[in-house]
Amino acid sequence: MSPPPTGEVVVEAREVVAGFGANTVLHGVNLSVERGACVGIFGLNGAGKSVTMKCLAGLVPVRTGTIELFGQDVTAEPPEARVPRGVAYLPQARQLFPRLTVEQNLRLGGYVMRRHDKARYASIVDDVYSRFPRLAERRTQLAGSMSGGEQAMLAIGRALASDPQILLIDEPSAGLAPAVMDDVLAMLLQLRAEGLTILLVEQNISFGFRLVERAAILQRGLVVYEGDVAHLDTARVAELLGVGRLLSKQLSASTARTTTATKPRRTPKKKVT
Amino acid sequence: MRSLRNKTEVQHRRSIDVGLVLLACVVLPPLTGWAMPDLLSSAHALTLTYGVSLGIAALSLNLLLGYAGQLSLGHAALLGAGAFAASVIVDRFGLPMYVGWAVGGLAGGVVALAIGIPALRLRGLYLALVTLVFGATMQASVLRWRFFTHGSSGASLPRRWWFGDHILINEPIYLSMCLVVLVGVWLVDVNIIRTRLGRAFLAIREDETTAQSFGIDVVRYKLLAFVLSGVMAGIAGALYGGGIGLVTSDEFGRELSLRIVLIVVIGGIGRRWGPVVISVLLAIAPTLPPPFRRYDLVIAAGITLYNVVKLPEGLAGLIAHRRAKPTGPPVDVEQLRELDLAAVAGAAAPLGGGTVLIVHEVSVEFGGLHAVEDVSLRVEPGQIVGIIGPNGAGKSTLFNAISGFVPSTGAVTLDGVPISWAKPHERAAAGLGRTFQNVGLARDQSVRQNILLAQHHFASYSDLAALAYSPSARDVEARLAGLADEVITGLGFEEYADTPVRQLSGGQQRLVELAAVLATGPKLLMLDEPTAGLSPAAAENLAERLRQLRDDRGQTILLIEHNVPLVLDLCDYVYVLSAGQLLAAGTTEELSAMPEILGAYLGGEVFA
Amino acid sequence: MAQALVVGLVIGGIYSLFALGIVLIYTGSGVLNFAQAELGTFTLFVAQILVVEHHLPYAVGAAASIALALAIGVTFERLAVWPLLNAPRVTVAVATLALLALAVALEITLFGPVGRNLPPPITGHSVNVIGVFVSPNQIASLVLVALVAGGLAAFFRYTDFGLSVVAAAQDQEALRFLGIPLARASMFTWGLAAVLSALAALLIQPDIGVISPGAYSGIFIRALSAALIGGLGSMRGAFLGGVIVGVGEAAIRHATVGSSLTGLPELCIFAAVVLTLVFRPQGVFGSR
Repeated sequence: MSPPPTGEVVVEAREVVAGFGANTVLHGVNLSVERGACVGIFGLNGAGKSVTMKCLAGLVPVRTGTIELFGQDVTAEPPEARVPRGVAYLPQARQLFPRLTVEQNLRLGGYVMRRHDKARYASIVDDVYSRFPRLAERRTQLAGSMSGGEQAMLAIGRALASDPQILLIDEPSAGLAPAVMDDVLAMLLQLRAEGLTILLVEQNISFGFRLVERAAILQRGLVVYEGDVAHLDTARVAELLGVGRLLSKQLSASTARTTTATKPRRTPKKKVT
Repeated sequence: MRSLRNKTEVQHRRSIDVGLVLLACVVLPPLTGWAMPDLLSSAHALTLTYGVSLGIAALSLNLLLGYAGQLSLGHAALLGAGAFAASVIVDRFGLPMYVGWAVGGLAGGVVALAIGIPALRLRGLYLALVTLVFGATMQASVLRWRFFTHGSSGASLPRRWWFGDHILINEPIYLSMCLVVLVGVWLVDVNIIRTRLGRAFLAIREDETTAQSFGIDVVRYKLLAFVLSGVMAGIAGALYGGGIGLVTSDEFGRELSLRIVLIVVIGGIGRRWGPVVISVLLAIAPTLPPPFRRYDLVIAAGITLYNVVKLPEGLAGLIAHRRAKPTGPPVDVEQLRELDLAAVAGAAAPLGGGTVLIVHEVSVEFGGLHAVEDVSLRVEPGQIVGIIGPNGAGKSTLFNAISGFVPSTGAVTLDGVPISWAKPHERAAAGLGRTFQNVGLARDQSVRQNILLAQHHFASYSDLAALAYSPSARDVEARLAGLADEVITGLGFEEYADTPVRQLSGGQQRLVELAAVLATGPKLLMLDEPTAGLSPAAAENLAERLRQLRDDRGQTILLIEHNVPLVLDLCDYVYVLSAGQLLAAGTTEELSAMPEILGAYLGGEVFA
Repeated sequence: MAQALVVGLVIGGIYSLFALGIVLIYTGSGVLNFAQAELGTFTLFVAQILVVEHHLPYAVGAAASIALALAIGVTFERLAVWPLLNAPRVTVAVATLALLALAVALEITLFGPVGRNLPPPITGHSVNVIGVFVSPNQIASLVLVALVAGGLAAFFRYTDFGLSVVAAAQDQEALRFLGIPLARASMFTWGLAAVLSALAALLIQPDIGVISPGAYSGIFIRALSAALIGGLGSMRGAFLGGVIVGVGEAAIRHATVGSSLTGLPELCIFAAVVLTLVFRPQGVFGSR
């Protein structure tokens, strides 16, 4: 079980407005993550989940509003300045270096640290390899030639190689087979139990709700609902996620039961034809 | 009626303008040369002739780079081909020089065709690379062969007026003839831009995928642009050679190719006046006092560098920007309420009566990964069919497979016609109209241009008719322009008709795209997330308009949507995709009774 | 024939250096640097002036020309490449064309159109190695090319910074969110390519002889052909491509000596480029 949040605010977004060209995607997002917390952002495609993450990582400029990391205003800081503060960002597309080996990918993940503390990096990489024995076996293999699950592990490993204090992770479940998804989930639960602060973006609600303790629901660039996963108004959530009507019948049967979010459960593989 | 009269008046005035220019071209140089020999000596006339042929070469490269977006770094070799071909014709066979110009143009075109066929199959800078290597190779080899060039001494190219003449016309007269050719090339260039050809070129420059979705055969038009450019370059080479009277291989090397590129970049990529003026300026620079004489190339290169980094449209672009009127603020998408899509839609092609679209066991594989696996679906006439599914389920990939943008296995039949092997532009021409998630429009072009672009398939005049702007091409263009006006009025976009699409809001762009596709009267309208970027109210409105389109016109629609409630409301039949496979299909009622869809859609047991 | 092949090997090695620069910039910035060879010519003029007109030692002239190339490469990256980071690549390519034109124009105005001569750094008789005569310059050139190629391979493989330069070519955004300064990798790429150009120009000068404005445009074409044949995305391909073009050209020239059709080697190279692009656009040694 994870240690309780300490109350120190690690990430704070206030009234963040951002977008691309003529399109404004975020219309004033407010979000706050405490140290040791595990928070998920959910919402439909195009709601602005990934853009929120990129704003926090510094990859998409904020038009108005502020972003604070560990109490410092970083709104104008480029991404490379946020990494030394302890931020690791894991994009949806993973963005590994496909023509570099596993080892080289990890080395670049620890680039900032290696500049002044190679010994610490060595111990961190040993830790990554012990978490993912599969990566240790494939040290010299090119990242692009690995399976989707292995790439997901390498992406997490590369993010961990910088010894971050907060992990910004965008749709870790995307494109993974159910069994691999469970492995990744177990890995992230482990990190959460060790006290790492995690901010997650997910479309796969079941995956997300098993990992996070708080959920924020984003709709058309605004946080429209926020609450502890244990006490979520499921009918409202379903409606906000745009599946309410379709599922009202099934929901009415299941709303009586509350969601237990922390217990990882095997999802039976389903195939309907 | 009034606007019609204005149009004819404008055309009338234009023809008078052209006549005046032609008259001036023919009369002025010989007159000046005769009356004021000091002002226009034969040396000056020669310099100006060089400037004029450089101007034609610049127009030639501009056609390729400015319109079609392809870069040639071996243009001098095309000029050389024209010059040597003209020399063979005029010098060896004693034919008049204008026959030499024509043969020069032909030679330039043929050489461009031969290089373009392999080089233009590849995207990106490959044409630049191949032309660069080609230009250097020609200068080192063929242009030195005795047969063409009499070795290093060069081949003579006399300014012969009539068959077998030995008396050569003088420089000022030759200059006026070159000016006439420049006007001719200029007019052809104007004709290219105001017809199907120019629209296709500009669309390719912006985005080849968009161009294909509008039914444009990208490879063919790129090749056409290069061949036309080659013809102009060949003519320029022949004129230039005739000016000097002698053609040597050294003239047509890398320096000349580079100079032409600089001229176009300084004068303004995609423009006419700028490159021609800069050509003449560069030609006369060496006759000016220093520092122009000594530093002309340094200045030109410096300006080019500055232009590229600071003013991507060149000097002419700078002037145009100063003139450009600021556009009004983007209107809100709420105007959708007033929108009558049926009025926007073009005459629909009659359907065969059977199923409009049959997709049979289509699979798409990306590097061993099945993005779409054995998906079959049917769309009946007059139906709105929806495809839903989670992110990464393969919906857009399936759309791309149906419209031919990704290679797939399986069979696709449109209105009884198998189209599995057809290229994207052929499928578009067969009546498959589609929109894109990130809006498939040529964004630098106006709303009107985009709607005309979508009508590519209906601009059925020949390429030659387009180049000459023949009466038949004129009629077709007038009809299409009228149709575009109707569509714009139907959209309520009169105010934005000539605004570049880029300056519209996301929602407005989506509407223009929909209108442009609808205006082609597609048998099947395929919409990829039509409500993305719209406010909930606007999305509801759009759904209502689509329903109207189906009810009033019997338009058949296949759409992808993330907005599940909207799909369930709107669609007659819904397919659910998950992980590349068809998970379920049915009417809204049928789907609501299938509990497993929730799981697939949101990942496992959700609220259980 | 063997003599011709050895000469081809030496020249091919130098083509490889130019080609390496082209590939380096193509992978790092996604752009073809059309000024790659002309930079070397420009700086070679400076070496010539220092050595011949100011009677400085050859090493000083060579060092000065390499330093100048580095300065030009880095300055160009700062002024033109970095501001165009998000512009279409063709725009940056046109910027390198402008740089090429600027270099040629400056050569003509500053150094004059007449050719200049720079005596080779090492004089001495050619050595007979199993029946083939090799000049000391050629041996030095071969050794240097091998050292540079080996050194670069090790640098990109074993140093973090070298690795980040390679990674920048694969995903610039990933570099940024991993906290690695992209600007430094970009500056390094252009600086290194310029240095390679200056070095290659110094090495090939004894074989070409006269230095004149634009004299090395033919070399650039061969280097570009080498990069295209070997694969624009592969440094190994660029290196092998350079050797193939050099040896192939020497062999064809040897075989067709006396033919009235000038430029047959060039025609063959062009044909090889077109065939490669049509049948294997990623290059003979490229992957993907």
